[in-house]
Amino acid sequence: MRRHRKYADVPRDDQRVQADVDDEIRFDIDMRVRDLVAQGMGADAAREQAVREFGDVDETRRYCASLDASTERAARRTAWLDDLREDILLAWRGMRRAPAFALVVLVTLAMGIGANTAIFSVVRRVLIDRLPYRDANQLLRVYAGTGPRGGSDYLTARELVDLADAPSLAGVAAFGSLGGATYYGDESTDMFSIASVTPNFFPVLGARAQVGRAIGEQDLAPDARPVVLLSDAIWQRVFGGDPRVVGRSIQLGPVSRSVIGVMPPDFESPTFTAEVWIPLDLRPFVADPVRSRTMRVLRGIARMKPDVSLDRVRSDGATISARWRDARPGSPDPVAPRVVPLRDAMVGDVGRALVAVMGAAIVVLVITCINIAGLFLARATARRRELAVRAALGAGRGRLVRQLLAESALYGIGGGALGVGLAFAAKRVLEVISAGSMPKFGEMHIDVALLVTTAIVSILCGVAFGLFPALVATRVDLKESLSESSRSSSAGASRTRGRQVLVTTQIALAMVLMIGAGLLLRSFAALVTTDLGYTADNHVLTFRVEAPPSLPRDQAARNAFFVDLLTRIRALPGVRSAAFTDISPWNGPNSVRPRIVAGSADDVDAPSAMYITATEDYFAATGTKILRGRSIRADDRPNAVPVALISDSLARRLFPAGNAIGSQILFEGGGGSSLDKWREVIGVVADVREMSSRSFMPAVYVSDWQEDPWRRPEFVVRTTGDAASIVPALRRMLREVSPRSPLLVPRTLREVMHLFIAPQELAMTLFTVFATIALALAALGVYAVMAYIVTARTREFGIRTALGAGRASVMLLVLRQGMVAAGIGCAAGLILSLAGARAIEGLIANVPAHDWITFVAAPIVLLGATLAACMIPAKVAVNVQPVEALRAE
Amino acid sequence: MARESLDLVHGTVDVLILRTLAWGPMHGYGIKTFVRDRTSGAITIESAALYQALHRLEKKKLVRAWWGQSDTNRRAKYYELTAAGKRHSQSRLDTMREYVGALMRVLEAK
Repeated sequence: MRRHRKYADVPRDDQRVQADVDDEIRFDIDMRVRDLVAQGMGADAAREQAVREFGDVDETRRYCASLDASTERAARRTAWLDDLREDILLAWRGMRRAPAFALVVLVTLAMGIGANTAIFSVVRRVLIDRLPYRDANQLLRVYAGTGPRGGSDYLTARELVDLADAPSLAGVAAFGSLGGATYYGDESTDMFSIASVTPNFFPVLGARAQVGRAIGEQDLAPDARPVVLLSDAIWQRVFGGDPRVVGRSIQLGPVSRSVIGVMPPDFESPTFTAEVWIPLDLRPFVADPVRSRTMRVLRGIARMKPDVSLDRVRSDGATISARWRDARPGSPDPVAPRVVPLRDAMVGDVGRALVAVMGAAIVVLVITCINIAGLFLARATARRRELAVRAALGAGRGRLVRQLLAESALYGIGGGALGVGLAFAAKRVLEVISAGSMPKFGEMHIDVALLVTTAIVSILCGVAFGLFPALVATRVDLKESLSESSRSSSAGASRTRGRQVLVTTQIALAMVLMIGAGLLLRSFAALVTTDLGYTADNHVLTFRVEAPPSLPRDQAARNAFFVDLLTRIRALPGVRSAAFTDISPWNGPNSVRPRIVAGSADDVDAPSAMYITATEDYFAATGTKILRGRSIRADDRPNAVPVALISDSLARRLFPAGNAIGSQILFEGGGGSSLDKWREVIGVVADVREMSSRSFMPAVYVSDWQEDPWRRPEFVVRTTGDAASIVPALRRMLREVSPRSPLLVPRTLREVMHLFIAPQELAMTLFTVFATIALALAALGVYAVMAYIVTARTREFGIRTALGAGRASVMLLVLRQGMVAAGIGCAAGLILSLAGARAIEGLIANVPAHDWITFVAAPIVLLGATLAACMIPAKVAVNVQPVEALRAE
Repeated sequence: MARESLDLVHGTVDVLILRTLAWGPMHGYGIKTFVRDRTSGAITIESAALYQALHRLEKKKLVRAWWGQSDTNRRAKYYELTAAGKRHSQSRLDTMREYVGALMRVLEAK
């Protein structure tokens, strides 16, 4: 070997270096003494002279030792690099020698690492990265109500004003999402999602406009013109990023508004979507003594004062809550303000889903590593002769382990590189799956930090799956391995046990993922099939139409326009029934919840209910069953008797005697609004669920014709075929009737429903994918180990057969060995799952966390798969011919 | 040897060692003996300077060392020139020739 390494081969510590220097000096002096003695000098005198002649012994000792120590360190570094180069070269050759093996390892690893990279990139953006607001950790979302999901997104004006008094809050801003607004451009019309915000909204968030200014107090001055603030997206898409747009007037819906500014690209409205913002004036709400307490139409965000804890805010909230209770004495469901950190509010269920999915991805990666460890172990065993030869040539065990580790680390890096590629590909898939459920800032983004993380994970994986096989494989018995018949000597009980431990662990982990996927699947199935009280399928289309700006703003003109439209829609081919509504159970958390009074207006126990407006045919179109009485008719017009239908549970609550039809009800606290009138109950309909919370809500349906004019009703159209297919015909018809009225957000009720269950769907889909991969890997692992064991025991099986063992007994022997490992794995997995199910409890609804069907079905599937995996090696074992087995060696 | 002309001493000792090792691997005492015998005792390298120089040269990778067996059957550290050492010794030799020539011209100037 290389001569210059001879000296550096054995690393020396500082003590050893000093000893060598001393040895060298002693040798010099001794030689001099010998020569002097040979010249006839006495021994003592000779030594004395030799030492004197030498010069400064101590200085030389110190100087040489310190020089050598540093030489030693440098040599060690060089040697290490040399070895590394050699290791990598060997690993590369090994990969090229076994391309199929390399491919399997790299692809498996790429899948595991790719999944983790893709999901981690999203997790980081959503859960870890800073929100795009100044001091975002001080920001809160404010709700009214108690319980995790109870209460309302919406507050009254009074509640908002009271909250602003809380000493722990620096500011409270309100916003209202207004849905879509039609933009009438010079050549085309467009639809912007629009929100109204109080003047302190942007200051509370700490956001500024990039061009012009944001909405401010001056926009609420008595002589102020209507204004609008644009998002960067609209500015670019519609106005070509022209800064001169500021100051121009644009027609938005019925109002001409002057553009005051453009927000920066990274600005996003917290917890709602808006492409343009207009000012929201709270004063009219606050001024009205009744509406200020009953109109639940405002949503709130707040900023805590610096150095104030969330608990302080919550205790302030309790104080305010007491005040609210006093304002509504005896109220059965006292409303309390509830504050939630803004990030939690923005992330919501998606956050929980992401954490669970990240956990699943990590488990898949662990299974992947274990699986590859199994493959490496099998190969290392096959390479025992090679390793033994290297050991015989003087390579220490540490050196061999390092060589094997370098190989697996190289695989890790290769797999990681492929994995990043896969993550890029998965980005698309993730975007499709998570569409609608992810906050905008949750978009996947691959950057240097992420790549570094992935690289570290890849190398760690390589070490993780390489270390155990390397340690096992290098425990070589030279003599045994070099002797030709090494294979026939028993495969080594400890080695087999090692493999079985690996397989059992894989099965246990796969079990956990399958249980998770099973629970999510069951819960999702329950979500989809929940009886909402209306048919949320693809036969029902909903959309909004904006009345043209030229239409006079009075009820008669508006009604005439929409009645005409309804008639034309009904005439379209494929349409069975058409109606419209303006507040529906699927439109987000229902905002208007008046309390319903029957008989005495002082009833303190009056229940609150969803307020839903409807036209004739509404129930036919939605599929909500009318249990008693009649539906709304076209002649339930403003001058006719005000009518209402109530849901079954409300009827039972208000009229336990069953005399609902013909009775009168009143919405409490209408305060002079159009709500404030006695209505005759004309029918009782089946209960419906609010789509967002999936909870039953008592509901009151009133004739849309008899309510305040609403300029943009939501149509509900039931069709015979796929509802989406009538959209083109609808657009054509609308262009003829009113060219300036665009068709807004057409979607089937099924699509609407999927928006609400998107986080659950995301978790369910990804969990199922991961569980399937885990199942496949576990089955593969079982197969590999059993195949190895059968091959190792070929001779034994041959002898058994020769001695008269039946096929069945040989097969049983093999199957038993495999299934014992599988059984232990399943049991361990079940125990882990019982504990782990709690982690996804927040994501599963309608199914208990310890749902027995899942806990029975998953082990059956897993055991079935492992049994199948064991069958192939078992068949091989059965077919061993005694003569062949004995001749084989 | 005078302490104040250390540079000259170091440089000279280095050249002496490198030129000596050009004859083949030797241990420190061997180098010393070789120089003394070659110069009939005119030049004796002090051991302290010799070993410090040898270790310095080893660090510079101009010589390499290994432990071997001396003719008295003792463990001894042997040194030999590396390729770099050979090149270096040649160039130092040229410099030294020039230097000594210049020195002689001054000393022998009449």
